Amino acid sequence: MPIERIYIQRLRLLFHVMGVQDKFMLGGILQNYHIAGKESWLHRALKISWMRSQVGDFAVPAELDGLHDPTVWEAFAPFAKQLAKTLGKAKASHMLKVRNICELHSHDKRQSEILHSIGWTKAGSNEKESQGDQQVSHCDECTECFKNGAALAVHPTEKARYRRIAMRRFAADAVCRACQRFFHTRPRLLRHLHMGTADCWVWHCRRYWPMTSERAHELDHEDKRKGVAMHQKGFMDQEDDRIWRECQHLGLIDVLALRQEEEADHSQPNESELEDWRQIGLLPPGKGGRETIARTLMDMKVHHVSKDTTDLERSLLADIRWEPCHDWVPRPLALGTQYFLIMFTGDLRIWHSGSHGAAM
Amino acid sequence: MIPISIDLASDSHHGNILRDDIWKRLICSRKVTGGHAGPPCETLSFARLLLLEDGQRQQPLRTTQAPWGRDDLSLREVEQVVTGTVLMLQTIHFLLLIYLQGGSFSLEHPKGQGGQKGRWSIWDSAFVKLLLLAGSIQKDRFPTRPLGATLSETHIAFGRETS
Repeated sequence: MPIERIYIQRLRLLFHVMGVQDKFMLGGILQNYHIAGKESWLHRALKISWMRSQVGDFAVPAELDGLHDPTVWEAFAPFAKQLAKTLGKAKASHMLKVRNICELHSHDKRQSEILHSIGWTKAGSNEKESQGDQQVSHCDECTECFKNGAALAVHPTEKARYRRIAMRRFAADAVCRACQRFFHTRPRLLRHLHMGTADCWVWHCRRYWPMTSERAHELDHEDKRKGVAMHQKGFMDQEDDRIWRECQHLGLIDVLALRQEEEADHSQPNESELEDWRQIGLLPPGKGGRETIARTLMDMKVHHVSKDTTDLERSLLADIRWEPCHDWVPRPLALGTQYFLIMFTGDLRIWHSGSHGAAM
Repeated sequence: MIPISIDLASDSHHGNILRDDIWKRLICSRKVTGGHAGPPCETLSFARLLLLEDGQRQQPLRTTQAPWGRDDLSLREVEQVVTGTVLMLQTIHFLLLIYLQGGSFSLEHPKGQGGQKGRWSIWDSAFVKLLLLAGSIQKDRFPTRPLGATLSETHIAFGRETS
């Protein structure tokens, strides 16, 4: 929402309160102003200077700036409706400015489409493509391409029609021994290992030797038979919704062959470990495997229509990096009668009169 | 070749380039061999900077800092600016379509000052500068005073067939 819209809403409420002259509410507003100062509602609502810039000094008296004084509220109470009407003009002006920026965006889009259609290219668009190309991995045996090394590593197992989930060779039951949780079903454990943080993944890879692909395949079939396999038709929702519980000691007994006797830690994997896991297609998320989604706080962009309009023009000027296609030859004109258009748009007063403006 | 004047003063429906898409369809059927347009200049005019007889002057509605309209304009002025912008964009769009379909065009507008002293004209806009990248679109000066105009010269962008 543009900041001007917030100004308008606050000022509208302010003039309404001014007109009603509710003593209790006015007292609350002024008390809040004296206590909170710049953080108060009145301070934020007092965008009189903005309104003045939109409709002119004569329509918004300078005395309105002193609304922290109760006598000013009383003095302007009879003119509250007039001020609200003046605010309506500011709103109409704002809406026109919104339309202005929308028209500019729209024209930019359609102009770009036309230029693309005649073979113009934008310098810089190839850079992104080349960056994307760097991530592509190719299989030496066939022509398939993969977006990262992990996808390439599990490719042989895919070709052998095995299941594609990398961690399935570490999931013997429904227990995550890294975080000591019981997930009720093996597929839910797999989902935890894949979709959760990479810590449990790394812990499993460090502590255990993976089971054989054949054994993992058997367990997959067992899940299918029980109707709990991931993405299986008729997957039991109630099973999916059951919350995990902490696992008891008996459930934490190791069932896979140990790679190391001591307790595995959660430290970052080193290069040799990653290389080792890469061989069997087990790169953890964010370490060459599945790309992780960074949950970062997004800055809230406050739109300011006039500023945004100017910024748009500046960005367009800075972005004139088009490369014309000098080889483009238009198709010949149609045969028969031809026309020459002369567009008169000179006097804007004609456009403002009558219903012509409404067509815009 | 039949010249057609698209003028709101002569026809309120077909003369409105914002309302009627008959012209767009005519262009896209490649029956338009050329087009000429002069977007409205009253919101861009440097005459606004001239001192009037009573010592007052009209305020400029656009500057290089705010090319698509200053923030502190009255409602009437904002309406004027937006209408000017919309008409300018629409005429440029039509001319570009004519060029795309193999026709030629000319765009006439008072000579700008290259953004000096905050004076902005459509020749400084990104949309027009982008078009001038094309080898077959050129900008030339055209003296208008011999024709009776008060301005000494104007700029005209010519888009020619590339074939």
